[in-house]
Amino acid sequence: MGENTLLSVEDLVVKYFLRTSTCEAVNGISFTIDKGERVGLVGETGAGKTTTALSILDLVPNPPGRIVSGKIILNGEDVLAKSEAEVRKIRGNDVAMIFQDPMTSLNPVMTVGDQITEVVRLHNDVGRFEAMDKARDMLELVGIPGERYGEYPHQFSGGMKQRVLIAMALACNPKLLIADEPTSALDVTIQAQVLDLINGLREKLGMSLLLITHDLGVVAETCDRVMIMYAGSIVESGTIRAVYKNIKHPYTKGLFGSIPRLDIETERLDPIKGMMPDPSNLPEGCAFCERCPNAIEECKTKRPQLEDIGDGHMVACFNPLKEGA
Amino acid sequence: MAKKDGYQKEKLGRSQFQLAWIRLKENKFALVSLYIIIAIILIAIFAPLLAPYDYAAQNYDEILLFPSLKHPFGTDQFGRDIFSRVIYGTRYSLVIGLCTMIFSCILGVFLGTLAAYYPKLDNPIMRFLDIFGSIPDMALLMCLVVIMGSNMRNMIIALALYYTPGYARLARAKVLTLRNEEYVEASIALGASDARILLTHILPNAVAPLIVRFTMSTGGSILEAAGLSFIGLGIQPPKPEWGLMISQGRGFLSTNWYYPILPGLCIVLLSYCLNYLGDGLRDALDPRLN
Amino acid sequence: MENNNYMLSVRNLKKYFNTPGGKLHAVDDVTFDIPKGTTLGVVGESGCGKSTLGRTILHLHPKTSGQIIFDGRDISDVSKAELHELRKEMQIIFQDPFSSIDPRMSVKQLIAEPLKIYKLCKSKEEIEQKVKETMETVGLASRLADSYAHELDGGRRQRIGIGRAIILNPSFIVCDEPVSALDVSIQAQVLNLMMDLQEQRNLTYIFITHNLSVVKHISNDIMVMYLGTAVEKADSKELFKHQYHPYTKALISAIPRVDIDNKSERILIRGEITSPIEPPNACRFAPRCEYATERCHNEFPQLEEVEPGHFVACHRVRELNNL
Repeated sequence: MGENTLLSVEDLVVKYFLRTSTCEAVNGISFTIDKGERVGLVGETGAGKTTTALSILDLVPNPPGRIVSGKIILNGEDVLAKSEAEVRKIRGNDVAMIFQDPMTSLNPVMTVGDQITEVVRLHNDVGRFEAMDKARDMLELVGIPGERYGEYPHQFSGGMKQRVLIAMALACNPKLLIADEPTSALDVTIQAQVLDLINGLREKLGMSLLLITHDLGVVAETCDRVMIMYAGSIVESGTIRAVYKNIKHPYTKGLFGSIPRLDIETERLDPIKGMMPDPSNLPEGCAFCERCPNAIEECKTKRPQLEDIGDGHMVACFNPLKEGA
Repeated sequence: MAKKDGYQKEKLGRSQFQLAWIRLKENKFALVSLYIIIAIILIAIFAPLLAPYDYAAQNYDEILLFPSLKHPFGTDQFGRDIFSRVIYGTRYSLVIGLCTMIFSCILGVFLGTLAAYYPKLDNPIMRFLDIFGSIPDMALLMCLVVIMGSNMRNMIIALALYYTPGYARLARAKVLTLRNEEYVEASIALGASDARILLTHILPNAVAPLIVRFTMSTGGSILEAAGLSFIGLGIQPPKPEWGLMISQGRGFLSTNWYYPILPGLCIVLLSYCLNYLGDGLRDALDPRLN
Repeated sequence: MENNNYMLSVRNLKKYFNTPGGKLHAVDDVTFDIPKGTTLGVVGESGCGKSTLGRTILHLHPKTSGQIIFDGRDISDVSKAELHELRKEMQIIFQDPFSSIDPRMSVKQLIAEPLKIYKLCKSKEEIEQKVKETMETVGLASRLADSYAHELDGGRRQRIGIGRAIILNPSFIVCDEPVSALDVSIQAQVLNLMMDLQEQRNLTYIFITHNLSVVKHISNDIMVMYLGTAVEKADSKELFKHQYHPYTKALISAIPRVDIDNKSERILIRGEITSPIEPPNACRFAPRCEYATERCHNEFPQLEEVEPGHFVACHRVRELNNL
């Protein structure tokens, strides 16, 4: 683990134990996030992105979910080995999270200012008025006039609510911000505003960012590094340039083939066949095997592991795509 | 997150009814209640075979006997076998409970659906029902029975009218939310008629809360009927309705406690079972638990 | 005056809703034509009135004023019986495949419903046959016929929705965000299906979406809406090459791009969409527009043809774009 590493997730396994089956949500993933680094986690519904994020804060709903094994090392300390009270201190203080739906994440009967003040006081030993000043500063920081301190969430639009949530998440100067689909519920022009805001603030405050999204475009514009997740495993990761310009995993290629491009004329999209396997009934070999045009015999029986193919570009595939394919 | 996939795969291709039954079986209280209710229904049907004595046969040699092998629940002041009377009593209680609920449910759902689906009818219907509902229950029931004459049929009518506003309100609320569902709009776009939309898309989806209310308030209506019989406005002696038996036995509470208590326990048992079953059905019929 | 090459012509369509705060102008004076067998993409952000436009055309909302001409016939004010017949010809595919499907019906029942409504089939076998054919057309395996929608994923549910829409052989379909709720790989499968169907059956689509990449892919013409009004309208390729309205420019520049080598400068627009309730009779975009002048705040701009086939509603379009 390097000097510069902020977060290191090692061989994380999370399962949901349901009444009749066991859902393997996250299957032994490992990754690191450096100080000040912006990392994107991309995948489709059910790939285990949100579960991964919740694990970092030890927030996986239990029951039915449980972190079966693995380590989450933040600043050199294992989060999962800590007591509930200690973890609570980390949440908000060291790691903050913003969620997808800004409409339901705010308490409708409290003014937005008071909600931010509450967070500030929860994590800092400050007086009421000091906390209120801080809350006002935070509102200004995310581009909301401080006079709106006393307004209620319903008086804000979706984009504005997301700004309030960002203000709340940043109120305690976290070292890592986890943003779970922060702009998926927003319109493109508002999305652009919010992404700009997150990016600007990240630079100003020097924190790391883990951006979870299904949108490859958002990652391209916001992150330094990207991890592609499929059925609970990371299948490809590396710098944006390495992954976007030199796709190695067939699933990544399928994802790119599925989005209509603005820059290239395509008559027909080239989507991935079929659907993601049932996470409670994963195949023995590679989870992508059945949909993969490149599958070879080995894929059916063995699970591929992430391997470095140079410059930190990692792929988990027995038969990766050739250069320029 | 596809956490529920495995659970769904197991149930692929089963109807909603089968799924509800699978879930109901997991609730032991509800399942036991269901069996008890089925037993009570069987007792009511086969009462003449099960009862050791005629419910009205008086025997002045054996008045107010303590429960014994010969008379498991003892005898009353006319020497009638209380056990036989309780068995026959299931018939009255069940008929009253079920008829009341069926009539009030049909009427209430009809009115509630009209009110919800045709906004012009909403205020007239619902305000009238509100007026109806604002009268204290016993006062309303007593007035209705007294006006119409006190017998079992009129008591059922009175109880059915009393329970109608509740069903109407429930049906209206449910239909109001369902008519804004996108799949209802999808059917309108397909050109479906109002009747088709109501019958195939709205009512089947509103059935779950209605069934729950049905079971929950059947117990209530049996208690109300017992109350009416107790004050002499329902079923007339010598018929062995449970409430009536409590009413007649209350004077003997200090000397022959079993006389009013045993029929009372039957009422309690039946309404408990209905409530537990209703509780279980509410969970079992919730499609979100699929 | 009616051109028979047009499947649908809409003239000055208005739809206002009554709200406690006054009239909400959901669709305000929108005019367009769609040639047969083509797709008109309607793009805009939430609250711009694009869904209301689609539903008003289908008479799912009564219009406030304006004219709707369908296949050369004025259907602005049709009777209930005529409307019933018309609905065979005009269908809709909904956005959310989770709420637009009755949870208590099986796939077979859902797809057969239109046939039952119009009593088109004489026998049960005929219905079965048609349902089977349709399921095959939309790519649903026949073993799913008895499944319930909650057992299926979003992509298959949306295929049910498409099946219901096409089983009556309509000529015109309003697609209201049909792929927005789907994952990208599934989204691509559904888009391909819709384009194949269009080719096979010469369908005409109105494709309503907020996703500009999708709309570029599927549409022949694109209309950009802002707060109930059409601000720009052009051929799809043309629009992505040249945008003349300041809003369209910002909208297109805001799309996050996958192409990391050719980053375009994002134009951020200030503030948020203004209220659609009793808006002033002026350019709706003026409060957020950096080029707005006195005139923009006082006069409503009409769509004008600045280049062949390219319509823009902006007072300053010529001076800002050197046209």
